[in-house]
Amino acid sequence: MSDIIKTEFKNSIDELHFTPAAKERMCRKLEHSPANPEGSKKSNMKKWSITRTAAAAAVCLMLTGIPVLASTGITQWVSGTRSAYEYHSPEEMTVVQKEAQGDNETPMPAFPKSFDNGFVFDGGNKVNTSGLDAGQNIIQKWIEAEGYYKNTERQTVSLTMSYIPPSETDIAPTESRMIGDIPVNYDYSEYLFVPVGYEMDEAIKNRMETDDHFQISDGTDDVETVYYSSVSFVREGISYLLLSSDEVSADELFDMAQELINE
Amino acid sequence: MNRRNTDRLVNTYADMILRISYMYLKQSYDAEDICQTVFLKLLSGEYDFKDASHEKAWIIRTTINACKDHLRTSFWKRATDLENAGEIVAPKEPESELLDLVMTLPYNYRISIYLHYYEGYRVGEIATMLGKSENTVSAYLNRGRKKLRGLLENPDAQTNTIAKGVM
Repeated sequence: MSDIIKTEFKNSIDELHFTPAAKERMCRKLEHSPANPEGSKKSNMKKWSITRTAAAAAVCLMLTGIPVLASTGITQWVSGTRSAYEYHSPEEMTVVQKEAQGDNETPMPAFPKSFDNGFVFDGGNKVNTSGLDAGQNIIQKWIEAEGYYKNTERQTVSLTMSYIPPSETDIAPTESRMIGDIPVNYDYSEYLFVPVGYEMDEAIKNRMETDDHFQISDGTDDVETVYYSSVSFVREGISYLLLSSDEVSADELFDMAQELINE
Repeated sequence: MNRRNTDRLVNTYADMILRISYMYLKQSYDAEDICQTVFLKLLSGEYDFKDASHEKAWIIRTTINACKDHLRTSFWKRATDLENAGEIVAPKEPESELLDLVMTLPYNYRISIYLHYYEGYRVGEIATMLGKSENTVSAYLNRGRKKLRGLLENPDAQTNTIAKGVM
């Protein structure tokens, strides 16, 4: 091959390269991938494994929309989200927020870059949820926007925004506070995650009957107990849920809610 | 594997993986997926490379295998990736008549030409990467050069081929 041809070949191949933004995106995805052992430790992904992510989605739904779903004939739901972040900045989250908005009049506010208590935006996902009836037919589908915030102590708080109204439940929240004229509910509950077909003993059955802040969810691979703390409120037709399984205090979550309400 | 190492991997090898993917798949759209596949395989395994050239050779072999897997499952991947098509911008493909001609060659010729003339590997090294004999790789290079020379001397030959395909 002549030198001229070799040079032209090399020059044309040199033109083929990733942009800096694409490389940055790849680095972030790799850093947070469950397949990356160091990434798992860093982002606490061990606690947010794929099955646990699905379980956290179950918690979100329990805290927000189950009775509403029941009135529509929906008896079960399927929720899906990626295990790695799809979106890496609050600006990127506007894509899924616009998709979630659909025909709703009020747009979702931007996800904050950070909160005063040190939680910083780490990444986010679109959550696709389908409500199914008893015959497994899809009755309703909706999209929620879910952002994750982390602090230097490796605690994680998720912020979910949704147009699904919150549940009208007779279960009293652990604590309620008014922030301006908006009631904000705090809940601290124990969730027992079990595999499908798990045999529950009498003590667990009894607790299910008597303890409003004890829930059981099946479908995970292993038996695991997780304590979830959350605050939820509705502002201008949008439901907000701040949720953590890392023992984030009620005061911290209320403070975050206040920042969102006062925005 | 901390952020600094992740950055090192991406900055050192992502463009090379893109170029190999392009040589194999004739498009750049799936290159980012191929990159992720290769890097995640490296991150999730316990590989002990004796030096940088050893690491690079492993990445090239793994990329080629990932491209082969992609070709096998390419229909399914295209169908599912359509949903996300709007979110990922494929790297810009070069505008070069010479490269266009190279891309008309069979993929074993293309990849051999790339590894030899761009990455600077010898026939023996390319043979190891492709899992072929040295004679086979020499044949790829010789035939590739000969076909390319023919196309450069007679550009109409390629045009006629394209017209046939369209009809």
